[in-house]
Amino acid sequence: MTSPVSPSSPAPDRASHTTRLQAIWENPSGLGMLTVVNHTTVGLRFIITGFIFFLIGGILAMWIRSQLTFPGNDLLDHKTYAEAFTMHGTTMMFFFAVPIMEGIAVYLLPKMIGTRDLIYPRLSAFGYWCYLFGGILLYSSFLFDAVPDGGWFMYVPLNSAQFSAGSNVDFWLLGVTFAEISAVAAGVELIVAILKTRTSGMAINRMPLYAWYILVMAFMIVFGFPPLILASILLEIERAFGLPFYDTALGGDPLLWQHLFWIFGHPEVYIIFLPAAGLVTTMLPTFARHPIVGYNWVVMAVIATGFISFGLWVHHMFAVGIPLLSLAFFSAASMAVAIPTGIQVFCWIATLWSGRTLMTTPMLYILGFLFIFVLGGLTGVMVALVPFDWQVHDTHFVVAHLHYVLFGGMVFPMFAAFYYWLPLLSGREPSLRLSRIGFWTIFIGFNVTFLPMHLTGLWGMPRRVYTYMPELGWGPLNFISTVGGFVSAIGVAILVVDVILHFVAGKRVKPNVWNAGTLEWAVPTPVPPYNFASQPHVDDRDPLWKNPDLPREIQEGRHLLSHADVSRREILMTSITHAKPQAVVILPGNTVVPLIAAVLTSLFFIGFLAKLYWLAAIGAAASLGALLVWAWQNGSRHDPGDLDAGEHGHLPLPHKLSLTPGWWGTLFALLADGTLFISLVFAYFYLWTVSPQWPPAEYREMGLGLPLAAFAVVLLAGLAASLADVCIRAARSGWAQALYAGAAVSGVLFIVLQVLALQGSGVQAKAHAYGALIHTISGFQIVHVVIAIIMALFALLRVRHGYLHRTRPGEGKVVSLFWQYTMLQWLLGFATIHVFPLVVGGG
Amino acid sequence: MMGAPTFKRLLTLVGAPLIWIVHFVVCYVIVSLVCAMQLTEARAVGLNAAELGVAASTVIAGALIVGIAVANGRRWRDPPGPDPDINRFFAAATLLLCAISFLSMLWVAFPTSILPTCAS
Repeated sequence: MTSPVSPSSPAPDRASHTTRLQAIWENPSGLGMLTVVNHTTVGLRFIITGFIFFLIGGILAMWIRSQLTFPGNDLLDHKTYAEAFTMHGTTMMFFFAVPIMEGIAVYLLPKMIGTRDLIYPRLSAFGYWCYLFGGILLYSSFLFDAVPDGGWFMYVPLNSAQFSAGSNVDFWLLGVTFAEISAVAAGVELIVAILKTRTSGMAINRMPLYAWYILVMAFMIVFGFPPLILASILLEIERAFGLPFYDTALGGDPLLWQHLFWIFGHPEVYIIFLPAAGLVTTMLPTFARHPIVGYNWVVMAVIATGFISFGLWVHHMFAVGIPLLSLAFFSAASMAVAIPTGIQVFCWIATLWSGRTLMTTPMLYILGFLFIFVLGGLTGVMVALVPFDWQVHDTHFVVAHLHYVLFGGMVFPMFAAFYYWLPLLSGREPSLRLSRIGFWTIFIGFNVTFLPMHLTGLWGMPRRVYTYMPELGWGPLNFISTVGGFVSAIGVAILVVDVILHFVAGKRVKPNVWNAGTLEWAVPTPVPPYNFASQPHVDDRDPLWKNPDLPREIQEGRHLLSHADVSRREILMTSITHAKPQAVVILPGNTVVPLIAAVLTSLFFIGFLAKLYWLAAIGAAASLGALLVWAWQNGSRHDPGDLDAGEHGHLPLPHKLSLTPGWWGTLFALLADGTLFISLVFAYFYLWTVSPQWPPAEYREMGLGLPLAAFAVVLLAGLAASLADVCIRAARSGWAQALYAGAAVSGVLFIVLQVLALQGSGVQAKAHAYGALIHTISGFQIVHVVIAIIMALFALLRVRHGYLHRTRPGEGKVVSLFWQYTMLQWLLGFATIHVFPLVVGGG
Repeated sequence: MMGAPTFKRLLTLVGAPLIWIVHFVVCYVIVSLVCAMQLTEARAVGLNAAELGVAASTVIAGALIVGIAVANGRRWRDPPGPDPDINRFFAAATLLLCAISFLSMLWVAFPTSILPTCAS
């Protein structure tokens, strides 16, 4: 592939071009900072907030360690201890590890793939606010003396209304679910960004490995988080309204919670580990001064990990009485996942072996990671063996294992990444001496804490018990662990001081201080809000190693999107495999709408928490209104023509394409949505297998007439929305409006018919899990139809106002995609709740 | 825009691990249903319903993975089309995924041959 630039290319007037870009992309100051949507700022907000949660979680860890220092210690009572370990786990998993890894991706990825911003900047900002408000909501439980205390995995029945009547559990369920909106939003955005906005020439086989890691992580979020969101919704419905899902006496099963939680929970470990491994894979070749060995092998290993990690969840449930053979499947898969992980480790070792390694501070952390993570992986294979797991289940051996994997596998790479990318952020380097003291303090402290803990666990000390008797002999080991814990904490404090000090006292460094090969180092320091003055064309996996002049060429505007009359935020949209430019996307500028939408969404969660359901309803309606305003801001009422993209000539705006950025986002959001629904259907079939009678005897006579009519009506509505899309392309806007109206009316009719069908059936929602699920599955569909109706009416207005037009048909495709999904969803829903009972229950 | 070739390439790339996970879930569901419904008595060719189901799904999944591997082995040796680099990359990554998926699939199915179906 030839480069689009040549040394003789005339450069546009640089000073005025970068000044214009700066003016267009600049962050406002003061209160205006609340409106910022730029990925660099939002990414930093995620990272800083995540790190604050890490420090809070760390303080809670010190509480735990302090309490366990001596046998019979009474520093914390059992309730406070339960609160401490619950909040420690919850904070570290949901408010530190996932968000900070997403934040690092939000910050780094666009720079690494050579674009100016993420594809949905408002969604990035909305995600951040949801995360922040979710965290505040959870921690506000301290103000109400209602701190969650049921463990970070919130098992039922301990956390059902019967045994946890207060609002402690509600704080957890609502706070965590609120923050998960952020995770799923970031997942969707990162997928579309990686697939559709890599810069020109960055074909899929040249993509930085970090992008592969983040792509797989983002897909895992899309498929992994919905089961937990669903489990939380069901538990909240059970607690708030009394619909039984987990109550054995009414046809439910506590193990349903465990299945749903761990279908999320184990992939979650890899959702945390993979991006960290991606950071290692990016940094390590720089210090080895050698390209990564086995690019294809790493790609394979990352994809394989993404899949196999979904087949491990029952290894958290080896002790619950599942048939041995089923356990063996999960045991085998748990061992199999070590293969792709091992392949990555060997690729890293081979890269170090092939190069001449520079022993820098980030490299020290990477070696620390390798040492600790490999040990954690080995104990992971041990607990994958069912008989061994039975011995150490719920003991401190598991605590030691999970910290070796998570602290070693995620925190060490994160610290390495801090030291590696800080010079890009600040243009300065931290103190060599302080950073090394920090590393050794953390490394020694960590191992002193957790290495003896394996033995503490093997000697039988259980988790989550606030104290122990002296004669059990666990005292000395616990004392050592506590000392180690505080040494680690001192190490983290040194790191924090080092990072803060370096902003004022750090030595200034040259650009691309490590001589790295990836594109983020082509961005000037301090990082301008537009990243690249022109979007680079690349033809190598390590573009800066191939062409060290690339940063200058980019800055001089010798690449793409460097036209002099730039007036809006522009990025390239490219093809999935070859990264050939297809369109120029105009991104929205700073806006307060994401913040308002998140504030209104928080009203919904607060309303639910306070059991003020009218407030929750107002919050839901108002946040929907904000999202409609958001959507209305998109698009254009006229066709501004094609835009100058430099060497690639003129490119169209994406709303002229049939598959717009909005369509891609909707597609991947629907994958998450579909997973949520399939989790609900799984709940139905799971309870069927454990229930002695399904449906219960009194519910055998459920007519099919009304449900069939409702089903037909929803099919008609979906067909009408799809036809409207066709009419828009055929310039028949009158017909399109009529069809959208028809779809909306049919949608309303569906809701009426389905409600009548449920009422007529006599199936009670609260009497049995069967009725609870029938109502919940119907309710899920009704919510979708309501959204689809609003989308149809929105599209109708957009046609009327000229946004949706023959030459700008993109939104019509989004609306028809959503309606088609709603139809498909009900095909499965209808078959599950109306046809299946006839098959198994004899009708 | 995602054309049919791109979609086919991406689907082929993840085809083998997708088959692995479907096979995994099918094995788990078969054993759960057979044990929940106590269907272990009926036997054919010396195997009970769960063992037969796992064996059949393993043979089918294995054949599909081998099929993908053979097709991509050819593409790897002699990449077609105007983009040999990209096609070779896809073929290589697909082949590697076939290998690990095949091994993992056999590894997961193997306990069925040595463990009683519904013992706990």
